[in-house]
Amino acid sequence: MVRARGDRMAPFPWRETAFLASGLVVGVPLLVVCALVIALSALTIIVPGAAIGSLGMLVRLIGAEPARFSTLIGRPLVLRRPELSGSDARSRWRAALADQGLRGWIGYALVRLPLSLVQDAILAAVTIWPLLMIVSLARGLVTGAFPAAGPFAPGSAGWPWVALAALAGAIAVITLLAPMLIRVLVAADARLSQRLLGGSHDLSERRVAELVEARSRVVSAADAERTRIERDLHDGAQQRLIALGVSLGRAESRLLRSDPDGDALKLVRSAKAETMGVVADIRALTRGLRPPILESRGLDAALSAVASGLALRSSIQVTARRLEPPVEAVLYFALSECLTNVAKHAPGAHVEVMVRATDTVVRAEVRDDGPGGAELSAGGGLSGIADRLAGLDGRLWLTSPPGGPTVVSLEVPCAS
Amino acid sequence: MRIVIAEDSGLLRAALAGLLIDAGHEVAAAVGDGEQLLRALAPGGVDACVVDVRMPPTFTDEGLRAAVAIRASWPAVGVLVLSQYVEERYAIELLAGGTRGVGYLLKDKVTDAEEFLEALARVADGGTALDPDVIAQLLARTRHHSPLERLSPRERDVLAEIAQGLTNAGIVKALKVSEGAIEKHVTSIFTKLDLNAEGGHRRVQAVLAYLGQR
Repeated sequence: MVRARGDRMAPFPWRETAFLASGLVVGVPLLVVCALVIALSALTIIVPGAAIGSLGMLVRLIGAEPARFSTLIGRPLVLRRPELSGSDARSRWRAALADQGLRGWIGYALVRLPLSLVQDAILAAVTIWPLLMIVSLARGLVTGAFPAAGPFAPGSAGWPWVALAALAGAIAVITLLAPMLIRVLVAADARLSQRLLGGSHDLSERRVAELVEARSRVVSAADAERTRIERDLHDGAQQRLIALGVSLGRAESRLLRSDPDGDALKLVRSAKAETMGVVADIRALTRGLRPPILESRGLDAALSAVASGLALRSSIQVTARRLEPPVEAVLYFALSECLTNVAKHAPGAHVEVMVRATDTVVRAEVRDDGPGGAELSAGGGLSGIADRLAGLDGRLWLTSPPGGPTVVSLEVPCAS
Repeated sequence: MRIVIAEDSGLLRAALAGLLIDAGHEVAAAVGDGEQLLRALAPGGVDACVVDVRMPPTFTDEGLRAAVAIRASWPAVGVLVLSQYVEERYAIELLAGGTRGVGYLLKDKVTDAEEFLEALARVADGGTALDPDVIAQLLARTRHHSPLERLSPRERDVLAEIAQGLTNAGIVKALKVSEGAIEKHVTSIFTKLDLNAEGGHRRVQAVLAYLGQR
């Protein structure tokens, strides 16, 4: 029975105990340096930046804390370092004062020692005290040297059960209660420390903000890259191929005059047709990247050309103002993909496109009266749209019952 | 004819100049952006210009803006706009000032020497040259409450040919129907679009109704 329980019991938390104990060692210098900072800060009025040196020392001391946390309790401690940059001591001091996070660091330096004192008192109560009791009772059992009075004295009421119960209690405290209490203390300490040293925001909130910012940078960069590729293809390959086509066209008209029945004319004609086929392919590719008319005239004009190019019966209503380039680009991509889908799967259908914007969000809808039954399959065109929308926190819905109509709705947040 | 070329790709500019010189035209200037184009036209004596839509500095619609400015300042100069993409919006803006001496072609068309030279001659002569793809785009769009919805599909075909700048005789050849049938269609188009003005002017109005349908 005891064995079975022992198997499941975690070993005694030695490292956590060491962590709680080490708090005292760290706490003393922190409190001393922090007191120095506070004392010297009063002097800064007379001696500019007098406290900046001690503040730097405090920052260095706290800077070592993440190592103590990770080696002893295996928890990360993410610091948000106070801003101490500046050309001279005075400006560095000013930067430090303006830093929201510094208050938390000062608070940590002040509470580290008292907090560790309380923790270690509790730690001592649940470990050292039962340990002493166990030792004294065990020694009594072995040597017979029990106290002459009190509940543990031989001959008192309940002897020897009270002594045995006390022994069992002491063992229970040290093996069950102490480890649990230590873990609770460590967890609370880690949470408090993180909150004080991790800046004013909660860590996860800050991380989310960073990720959102990083994502929007990635989206903008991809957008700029698409624009660049479109322009490069236009200025390079496309222009040269058309120039080649012009030359072939000139050769064609000369041959038409000099040798209208020869093979040369046929060859030149097929070379020209091939060249212009490549031009058409490149055009189809670049059109999907970021057509220049999107920049110069906006969504309505760009989408109109797509709808007409696909020979769709369509009505397009864009009542939104001009939006930020990445938003316009993603809407153009999404809506032209929807139109392409309609042309592919419901070629005879009439399609309505509506785009409206409020101050914070732009909503679009593509509705066709085709046969319906469209699905959002992984890797399909619609899921590609959803992925690209997600890059801007946008979303997409599809309703397409058999028999139609198919409606794709999407929304993207936008700045006003 | 004296012609000015505005095209930012040097290679294509040279190819176009060669094509025009081959055909016996005089290239008065070959420039790389809209501003230089307007400067080249200032001395006068130019019959037509060939303008690329996309030129420095923004590479979006410089050529189109220059073309609109030319139509306002030098109405006698024919303007043939070349575009990499067919943009109906550009076509509509270009034709807003009327259909005299103006053209909008997909850039590919320059490789068809005869057709291109013919279109340029028509524009220089005060006519219209619209790319069949532009026409097709404009036709494909159904707009609510547009008088064009009253036209039959055949009448739309005929109107599309009119918009390209063809005469009745030209339409007879293009659609392979009798002269009488075309005349009937044209009259029907004018009636359905409520166009009462005289002769050739009605053709222009029909095209404008057709292009301005938004």
